[in-house]
Amino acid sequence: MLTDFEQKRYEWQMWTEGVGEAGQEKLKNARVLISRGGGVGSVVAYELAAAGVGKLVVAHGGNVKPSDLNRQLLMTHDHLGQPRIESICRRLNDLNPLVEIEGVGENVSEDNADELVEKVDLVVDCAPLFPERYAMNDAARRQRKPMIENAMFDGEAYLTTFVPGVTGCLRDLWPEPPPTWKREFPVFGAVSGTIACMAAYEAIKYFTGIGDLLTNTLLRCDLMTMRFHRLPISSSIPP
Amino acid sequence: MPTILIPAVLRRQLPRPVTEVSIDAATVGEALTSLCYIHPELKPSLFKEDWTLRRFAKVFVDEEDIHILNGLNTKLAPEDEILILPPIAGG
Repeated sequence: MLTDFEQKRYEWQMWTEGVGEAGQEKLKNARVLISRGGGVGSVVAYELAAAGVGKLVVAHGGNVKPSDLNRQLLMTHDHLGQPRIESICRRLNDLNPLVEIEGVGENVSEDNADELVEKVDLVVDCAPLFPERYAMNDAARRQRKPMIENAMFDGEAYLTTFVPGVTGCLRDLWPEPPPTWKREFPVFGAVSGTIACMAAYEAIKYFTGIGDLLTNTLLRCDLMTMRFHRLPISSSIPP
Repeated sequence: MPTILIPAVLRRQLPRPVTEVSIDAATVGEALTSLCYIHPELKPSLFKEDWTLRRFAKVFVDEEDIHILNGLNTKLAPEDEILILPPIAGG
């Protein structure tokens, strides 16, 4: 049941065909894990908080550095040197105090992935390293929970949605990581933020049931040339 | 001539960024091999020493995965577009 204030706060998005009060209640009851809260994850978290997703679990270790600030929009200049997760939680609470924010001051790993995924209904993978992505993927797969996969490099970005029983998973898409991948990569916040907004809308569509999910298809966006491709993903779908 | 779209990860391995290359080739294998002769910096990312395609390099022709077509033997028409899709994980 939405309160009077929630009715007002979310009024414009509830006008979206197929959402209404019932769809907004589904978002209010939804729980999402986002890791990390960097260039992509910070914008995913911000959009989902704005949309009124009931609970966000955000995992991100380390302290705010000057080089974070061109794209990690939940980090602020006045928080340099302080834990990133504090800045993330503060900014999300400022935006929407109705959303429950659980900050985890460490990155996802094989050690904590199962515990974190257990807390939520859906995972949004925004990690900058393949081992973190595989750890979330494996935990989501074990617990039969969907994972929205989005990634970028320079002016290029990918997006797809994995749903157990409907699609394959990250290990079907990329059976092994490229040996040359590095944690640091060229990025403008405008690029990471673009794919993040699309990923957030995938989550909104998943919970509300509107639109078509990007399943068994990878969207490749080259913002340098403004060319977009919808690519079928050949995968093995577990029973 | 068929055109190969060069992804951002591979563009950075070139001395000068190139977004696409047109190559006169009858098959995907010929096109990618020619690409690596023109830009030898790209070979380690695409091929093993024996010229078999690396497992992590996905290749599409007109938005179809070549593994569902005929692999590197997939025939090309002059207007075909080859897209190389490497794994990325920027977040």
